[in-house]
Amino acid sequence: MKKGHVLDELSAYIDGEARDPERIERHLRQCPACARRHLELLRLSSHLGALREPEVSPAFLTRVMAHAREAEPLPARRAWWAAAPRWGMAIALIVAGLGLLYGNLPGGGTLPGGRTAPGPETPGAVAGLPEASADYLDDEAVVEALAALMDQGADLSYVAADTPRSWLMEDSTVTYDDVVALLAEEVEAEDGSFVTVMPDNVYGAIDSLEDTEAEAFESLLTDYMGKG
Amino acid sequence: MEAKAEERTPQLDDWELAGRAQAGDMDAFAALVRRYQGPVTHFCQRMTGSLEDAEDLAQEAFVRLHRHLHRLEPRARFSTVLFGIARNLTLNHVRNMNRRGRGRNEPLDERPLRDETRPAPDAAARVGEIEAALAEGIAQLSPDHREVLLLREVEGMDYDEIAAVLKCRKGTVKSRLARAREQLRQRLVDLGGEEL
Repeated sequence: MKKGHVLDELSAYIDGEARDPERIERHLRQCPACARRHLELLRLSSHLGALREPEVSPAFLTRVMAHAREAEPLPARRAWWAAAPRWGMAIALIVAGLGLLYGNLPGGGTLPGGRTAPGPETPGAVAGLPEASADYLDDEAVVEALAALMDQGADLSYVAADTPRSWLMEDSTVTYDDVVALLAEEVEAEDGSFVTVMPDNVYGAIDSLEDTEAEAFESLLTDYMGKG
Repeated sequence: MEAKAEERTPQLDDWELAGRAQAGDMDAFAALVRRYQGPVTHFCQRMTGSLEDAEDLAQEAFVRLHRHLHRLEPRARFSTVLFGIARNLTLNHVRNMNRRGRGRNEPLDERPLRDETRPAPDAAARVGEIEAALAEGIAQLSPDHREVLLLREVEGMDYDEIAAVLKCRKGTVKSRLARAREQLRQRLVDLGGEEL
């Protein structure tokens, strides 16, 4: 691409998201190649916007409503996910931090209130990862860690798009499971049951943290572990 | 019952309907389904290439939305929540199809391919050809590029909304969209042998 051309910026420009639209406009008035590409992108956009929606089956609504009536709302606390994520170490750090906070988790420690953490034979254990269960973790440390990270300027809204920060901060019943649930998604197993796993896009979301944000995140977790 | 949902909930916005649905008003939920069944099914169809699969995925998305209703609060645009669910389901489906060797590189099942035996196209035929070429071009994009293109160009979401659906940064939306458009533009130029 010749110096000064704006071909790479035209996509954002037609969406009103270019950083310097005035500069692009000036260039388009002077450069036939970029002007032609601009026109092509506008035409492409117009064609895409004109794609026809499919005709949905007349029985669609009836089927949805029947299944919606049958399906139970998700419980406030869900079973912990049982997949080994690419960011397993970070999750392990979280759980390990909680474990230190609350005694001997995982592996049969005693929790506040006299509750007992399950031993290593508990179903759902993942090799190399500590166990956790919303049944006995009633902790706000991770929630606070995430909130504190946001205080430092990290934008975590994209991993918790449907859950406002106020919910994280104010709901004292929030558990580690709830935080995991923010990052996780349900997938249907072959037997028809639903398993909560960490999807690729969440890995991507976490991986996309800036280095300083990731360092702050780890620092917070380390700090919480140290307090334990 | 559901057939009267639109009559009972004529002017309510999405979150007002969702609020009523949270309180157990199934007519309000039905109104939401009616409002979004076309766009969600369209998105799933373009992602999977199959209208049958798309309806199944859209149905599951609405059912899951209903299960999640009590967790939702009206912060983001409602459609980003719904499309986020549909997108996750669709990606899982696409991955499963790819694992089973049923790729997504075929044209949409109901869209005709270009008929090379046809005489010089008139305007209507030209539109049909462009639509078929677009469908084929979209199918050739990677899922990452396909979804961002559909959410922007077909669903009309802005970058912030797309970032919320995809749970990624706005800059990622910007770069993926630019690459998707360029790939599709180039493909159409190659197919047509002329500028768009």
